[in-house]
Amino acid sequence: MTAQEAWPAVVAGEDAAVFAYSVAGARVATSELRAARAGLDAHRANRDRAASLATQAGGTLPTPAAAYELPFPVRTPGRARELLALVDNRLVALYAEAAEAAAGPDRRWAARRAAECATRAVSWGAAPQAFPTG
Amino acid sequence: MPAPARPVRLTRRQALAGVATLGPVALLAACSSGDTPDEPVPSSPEQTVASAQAAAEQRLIDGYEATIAAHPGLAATLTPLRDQHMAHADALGGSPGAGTATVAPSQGAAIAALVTAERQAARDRIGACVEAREPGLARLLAFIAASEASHVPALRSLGA
Repeated sequence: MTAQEAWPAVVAGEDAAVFAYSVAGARVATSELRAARAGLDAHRANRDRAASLATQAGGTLPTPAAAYELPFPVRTPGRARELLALVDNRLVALYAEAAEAAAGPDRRWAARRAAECATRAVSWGAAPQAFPTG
Repeated sequence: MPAPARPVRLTRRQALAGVATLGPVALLAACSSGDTPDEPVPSSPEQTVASAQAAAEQRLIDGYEATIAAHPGLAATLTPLRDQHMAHADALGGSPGAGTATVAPSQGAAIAALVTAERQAARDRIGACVEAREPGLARLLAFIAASEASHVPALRSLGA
């Protein structure tokens, strides 16, 4: 995958993560609201940086969907945590692809975001994985 | 390598499709072995990077083994993490070998030592990822860094 393809894929993944955090972030337990808000802020910032890298690479920015089909209803704090863990874990592979396609500081940024997403997923209750995927 | 499905629709099916991106292992194997797999492959800078990282994985495995032996009550949590480091070492082309490691007598201190080791490991894997010339190795190291960073909250849940 080229950087021209990899960065827009990250942007699409981050758009989905922002949506998921907007929906599920409000449904976590009160004690976890702050962490959910921090995750939303991180995904928004990462989405913007990835969009900038996508444009630099000559890629086409994906259009964010107005709404996304959720894999399951998010009506309880437990399900909210499950969704947040899923979207974070799914981003790991996208950032790993971007790390493969990029070089230098951009590759470092992608690898750090992969680590950040996998860490957040486990913090939301996902089991650690040898090669984290959603 | 299969391109991961874009997570525009967060369906279960697409989530499962993500599992297909586990290809780094096979990809690296394909990249690091020559056309004649029976003959020794000349050492390349890439293999040096991979070997050094595989050796670091073995030291983590040793640390987990020693901690599990000293604090058997932690085995349920630590054994899967150790197994993931074994998968990392394997993906990096490391050959199994057992070393020794010292462990703090206090359970909390032993867990804290693993947290420190995992954080350092993730940093080192990211550094090696940036240095890697073979893109497939960079991808693999990004996955491994992610796994190791994610071990920290798992260890913290033990009360370190």
